Amino acid sequence: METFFQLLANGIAFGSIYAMVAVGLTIVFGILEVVNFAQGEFYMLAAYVTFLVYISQIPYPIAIVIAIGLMIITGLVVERFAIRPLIGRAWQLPILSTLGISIIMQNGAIVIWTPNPRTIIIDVANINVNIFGIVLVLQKLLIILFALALFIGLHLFIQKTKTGKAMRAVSQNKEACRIIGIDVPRISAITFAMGAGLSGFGGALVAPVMAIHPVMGILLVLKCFAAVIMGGFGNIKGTIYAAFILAIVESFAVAYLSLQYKDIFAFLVMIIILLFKPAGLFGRKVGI
Amino acid sequence: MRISRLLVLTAVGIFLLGIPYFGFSAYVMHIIIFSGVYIVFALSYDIVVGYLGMLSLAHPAFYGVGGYTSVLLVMRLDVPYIIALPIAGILALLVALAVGYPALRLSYHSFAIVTLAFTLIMRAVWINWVSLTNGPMGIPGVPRPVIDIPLLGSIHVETSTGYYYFVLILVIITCLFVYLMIHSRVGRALLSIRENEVLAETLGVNAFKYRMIAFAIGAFFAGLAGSFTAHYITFIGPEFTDFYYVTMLLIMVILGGSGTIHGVIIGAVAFTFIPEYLRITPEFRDVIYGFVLLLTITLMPEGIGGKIDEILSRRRVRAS
Repeated sequence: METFFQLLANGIAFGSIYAMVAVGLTIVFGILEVVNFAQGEFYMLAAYVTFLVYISQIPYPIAIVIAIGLMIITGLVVERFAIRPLIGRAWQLPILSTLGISIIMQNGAIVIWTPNPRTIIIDVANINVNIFGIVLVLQKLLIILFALALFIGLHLFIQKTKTGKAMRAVSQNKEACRIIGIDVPRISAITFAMGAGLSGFGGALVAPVMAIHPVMGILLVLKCFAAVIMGGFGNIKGTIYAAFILAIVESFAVAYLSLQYKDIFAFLVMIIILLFKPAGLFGRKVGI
Repeated sequence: MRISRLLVLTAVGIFLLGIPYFGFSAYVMHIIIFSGVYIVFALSYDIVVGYLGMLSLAHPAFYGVGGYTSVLLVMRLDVPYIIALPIAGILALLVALAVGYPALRLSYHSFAIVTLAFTLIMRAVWINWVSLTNGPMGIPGVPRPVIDIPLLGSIHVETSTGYYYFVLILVIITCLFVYLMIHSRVGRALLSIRENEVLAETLGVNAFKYRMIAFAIGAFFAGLAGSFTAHYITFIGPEFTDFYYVTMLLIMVILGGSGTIHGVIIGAVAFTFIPEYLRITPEFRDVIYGFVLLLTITLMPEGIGGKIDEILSRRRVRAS
């Protein structure tokens, strides 16, 4: 029974990361109708930035802020040059352009930092906390708490603020938004930057507990895609639930079934669910 | 018009048949043969991306299925290559039907992601099913094709000339097939679905059925290309199902001009030759590929073939 809760806790910790990155994907899809294949690369780059800032003797919390800030700026640049010119044209084009960006970033990272994995050693990753017999690294506990705070904050932002309301409006009807004077390109840019920032936050948080390497982003983002599809494209809550389900299934499957096929359980779960519910577990309401 | 067209076709035919006798070095012949493989591979991809209008990322998986099928049939079960080759295509086709059945019911975006997941699953299978595929080491020493023809004896394909004619036959079959398919009932149905699915369905076109057909046919030719490659380089490994192929195919198809046969052929040949002469590390090459893809999409989404068509049609309008 103890192992059960241990695996569950681990699943929840990784589920938090999956959910962060997947929520970024889902809001970008909900508002821009773009599948962002480069989402995982923001996560990977943020982990590298955290690593580079941390080894130059700057404290970890500041490294997190720098990583998120840089990813938001990168997101704005990508949106401006690779997404905005393609809005309103064939639906494949933004997918292909973000795929191009993903390839550039991923291989660029291999060229610059070599494929060798890097690790950073931070105190929070070495302290174990014991909660009712479940032993968890402090950093993983922090990840769960940060994610929880982030999702509550995001919910409030989307429901209460003016920008959040504009985002919801854009996800429902772009034409009507233009008529009443909502600046759709600006909302799109903010959304994309938010997506990149969420991914960057995830990357900065896992940097102390995982190996940092150039393909870490692509492996993660595929599972996040699975979560987005299962949750119903553009459905934030559904995506978060699906991300946790996937991570927990994965955690148990690795322990009880097979380590070799670790990375494909998420896809198998996704394909099985799609066979029965093609619109995802939670379907999609109109808007985000 | 008709006679000039016939003359051009004859000239192209003579040129293609004569290539092995032009005195190219073995290295150039190797790239030419690979151009042929990529023409088949890219045309099969274009059936799905260009004519069907769905972004499939599963093509490297079918390439791998085709390769492993014929290699295992020939090496483990002593099946003659001439039978193993079509079986490789057919197995890829069957796998495509199995994947397409759930995937083609989804939205465009979900389809792209599910097919990508399938590619990764197949790659994991090649790596981990060691008893069948020899795992990450791959299977070296794949026998070269021997084609038995009753009464005439058997042809051993060993030299680059032999491989060249073999791949030329595959290219011609693929081109003819794609050409005939586009100008058939299936092709018209596909185009109508691509342009307006709702309208096509109202007119009685079963979109799902035709999507399955196109997806499966694309997989069939990808399987043939995979089988030929394995028996040409006499090796097969998990790298046959590398995601890198998707990038490359997309560049060939989109830069060449998706939905056009000549454009895709130009794209495939150009992007087989260019990287060979760039002589850089694979990572750096991929960075350049990423930029090429990005720039093509933002600046010239209709591709070279599309541009050629545009210029030709403009001239035709002016002439008339």
